[in-house]
Amino acid sequence: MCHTYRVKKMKCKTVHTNLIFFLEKELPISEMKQIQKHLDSCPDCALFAEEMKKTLRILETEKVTENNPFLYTRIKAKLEKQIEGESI
Amino acid sequence: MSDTEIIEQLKLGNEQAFRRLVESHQKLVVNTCFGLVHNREDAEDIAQDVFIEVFRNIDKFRADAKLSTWLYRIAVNRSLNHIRDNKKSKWFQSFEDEVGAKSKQLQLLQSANSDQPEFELENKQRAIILYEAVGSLPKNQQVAFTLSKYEELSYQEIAEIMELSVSSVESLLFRAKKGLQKKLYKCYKKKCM
Repeated sequence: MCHTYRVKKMKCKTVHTNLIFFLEKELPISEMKQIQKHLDSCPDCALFAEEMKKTLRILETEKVTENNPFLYTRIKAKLEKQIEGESI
Repeated sequence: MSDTEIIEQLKLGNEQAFRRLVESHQKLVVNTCFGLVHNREDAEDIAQDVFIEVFRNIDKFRADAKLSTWLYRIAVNRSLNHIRDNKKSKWFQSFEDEVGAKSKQLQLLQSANSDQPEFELENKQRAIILYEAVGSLPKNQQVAFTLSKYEELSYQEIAEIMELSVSSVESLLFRAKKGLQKKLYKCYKKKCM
């Protein structure tokens, strides 16, 4: 039992250090399959993987997708103020 | 208007060209700034300065260079300056302390605003953790990571912007992700996510 626990623990550590690459699909297929197999049988790692996935998804949801229609007006006002300040 | 036409017209002081520049490249600049400073208002403030810098220095722009590369470089430099200027008071705070402090602020807001859906608050909590983790990486890694994740640039494009080799960019991104992974796991073990 101790030996099995030690083997399982080692595998978890390997999964933890490669999880981000697994989620980004940047590992060779064989490693992807090994990690997926581990996640299918290890609730702790599966939970951490799910948490990491949700956290990394923030990068997608926080991207700017539309222009701010007022940005140009603000830029123009700031530029004019700078030029005015320089000419005094 | 193509980028070449925008540049030609900007050199002649054409305001419409400047408006076109802002409209067509706003997302690029704001996303890059946001990826580094993680605050929408600050990102837009910095973006304003980026476009003003382009306008005022357009005569220095080399015809053989890409406009987007120049914009990315200015956006990165200005964002890093902003981080440096704002970080002076936070030198000795660790990643965990920062996450803890910001989570507390969020919890205070949460108790004051019980109408906010739980998933929104959970996402805000995750955003704090993620941004602090990215923000604690070495600067070069942060930049490479931002350009890769927020702008989805290739290694080659990132290499041109950062004036590094493609293999250096690969290395930076690998280390950034490793570092990020480590911080997020630490947070997970301490139950902050």
